[in-house]
Amino acid sequence: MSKLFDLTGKTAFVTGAASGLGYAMAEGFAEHGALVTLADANRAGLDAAVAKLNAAGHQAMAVELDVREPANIRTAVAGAAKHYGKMDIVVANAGITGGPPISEEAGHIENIDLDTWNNVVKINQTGVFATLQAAAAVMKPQRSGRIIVTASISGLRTSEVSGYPYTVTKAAVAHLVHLAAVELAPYNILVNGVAPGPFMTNIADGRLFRDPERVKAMANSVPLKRMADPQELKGLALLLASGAGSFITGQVIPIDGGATAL
Amino acid sequence: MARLQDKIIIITGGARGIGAAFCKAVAAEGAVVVVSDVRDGAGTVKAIEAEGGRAVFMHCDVANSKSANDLVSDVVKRFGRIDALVNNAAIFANLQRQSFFEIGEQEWDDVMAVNVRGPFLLCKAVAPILMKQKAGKIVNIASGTVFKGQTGITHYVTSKGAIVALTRCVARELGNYNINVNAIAPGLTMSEGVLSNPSMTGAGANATLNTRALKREQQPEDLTGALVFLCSSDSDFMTGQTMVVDGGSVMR
Repeated sequence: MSKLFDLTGKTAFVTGAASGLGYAMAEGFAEHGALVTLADANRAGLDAAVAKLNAAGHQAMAVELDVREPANIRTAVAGAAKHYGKMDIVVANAGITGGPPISEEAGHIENIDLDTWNNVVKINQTGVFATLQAAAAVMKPQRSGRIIVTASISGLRTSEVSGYPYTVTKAAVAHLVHLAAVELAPYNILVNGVAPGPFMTNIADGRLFRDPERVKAMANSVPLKRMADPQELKGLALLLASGAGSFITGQVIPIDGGATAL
Repeated sequence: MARLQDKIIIITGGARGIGAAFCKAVAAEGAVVVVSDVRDGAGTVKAIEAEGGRAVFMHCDVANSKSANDLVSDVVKRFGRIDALVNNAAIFANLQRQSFFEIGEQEWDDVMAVNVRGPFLLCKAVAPILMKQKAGKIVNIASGTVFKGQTGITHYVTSKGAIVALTRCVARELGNYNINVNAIAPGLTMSEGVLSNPSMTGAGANATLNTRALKREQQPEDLTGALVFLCSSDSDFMTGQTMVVDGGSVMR
């Protein structure tokens, strides 16, 4: 059997890992042998997620982390790296939707208050940047590593259902992937992004699970005519984290049911 | 667990180079490979069988609609279904680098016939099968050169641009049938065909290498992870995409 996607003995650190896409990626890595550190601001959710992985026979540990505190990200990533003796994979996944879409009046440009804007920038953009800083700090001396950023198709093309702060911060991290990939390549650190389309996650406090009409509309908006389960992000993250992706860097890869067809 | 256990996968241009590496990679993941080529693919089949894998050779000239249709119907007759088609066959390794205004009409047409009409004909041939199954994967092989406008091989780059477009169109049209259509865009890869053509190696290859974030030669095996992913259920929510695998020369 091929070992192309194997992560036995690899270590991974995932932010926003208590639920949704972050949890799915962490679980996918663990299922392929990685020792995973789950970071999240939601302590209760985090503990439940780690308990679930450990109960399934995986090796997982929890770090309570609010990515609005960059110094804490450095401490958390460095701490996990020290614990395991190395850090092979870091996923900058934590993010929020932040604000209504432009299709709603509250989402019109003149109505977005700067506190909302600044909070989204802090989490989605500065938080991701600081996570990459923390990852590079441990990976450069190792001269190896994989970094994965959760971008969004909202950051690649505009849509009525996207809001300003989310769209702009996701566009920023997509380009961050390109720049970091160039800088870190000489250290054998590969940097890529995943750009999910409509996934059923609890983003925006579980709005999707309360709004079947919205779900139907989102499903019908993509060629595959359905929304995705977070499980379906596992394979792409695994490709980018494993030997299977050893010549892929600087890519932001949409996984969106064909919405963008880039 | 192998990722492609018992999947029936057709790979065109499987006799050598990147195609042969693709055949070996999917066979190693448990697939039954239909190695297809205008050349003899016995070597690829033998190599797969030596590793305990399963493969058969079926001749096909992808530019010829009868040949493309016969391939698909022969595979269905023999195996009962098709899980994935990999449109890999293309004219590239034998080309001479030249200015676009030096490219003759016949050479232009030959490249378009194999590189564009071929994948189009095979997409058409397998679509009814995949639609009936309500499942299937098509993986087209494009090229990173599309996003750079590489000079010296304008017909090739243009043909691969068409493949990116074909991928998007067919993905949209077949999405409703649970069929995924994606492309891989490799960088210049040191296949045996490329290595045997001085026009493709040397200064031109070095210039390409220097545009990469990862400064090394690309090998056929660098592409197999992306191919296995796109042939497997791991990519069930991905369609219409062209995934660049080129060491970070093109960044999208």
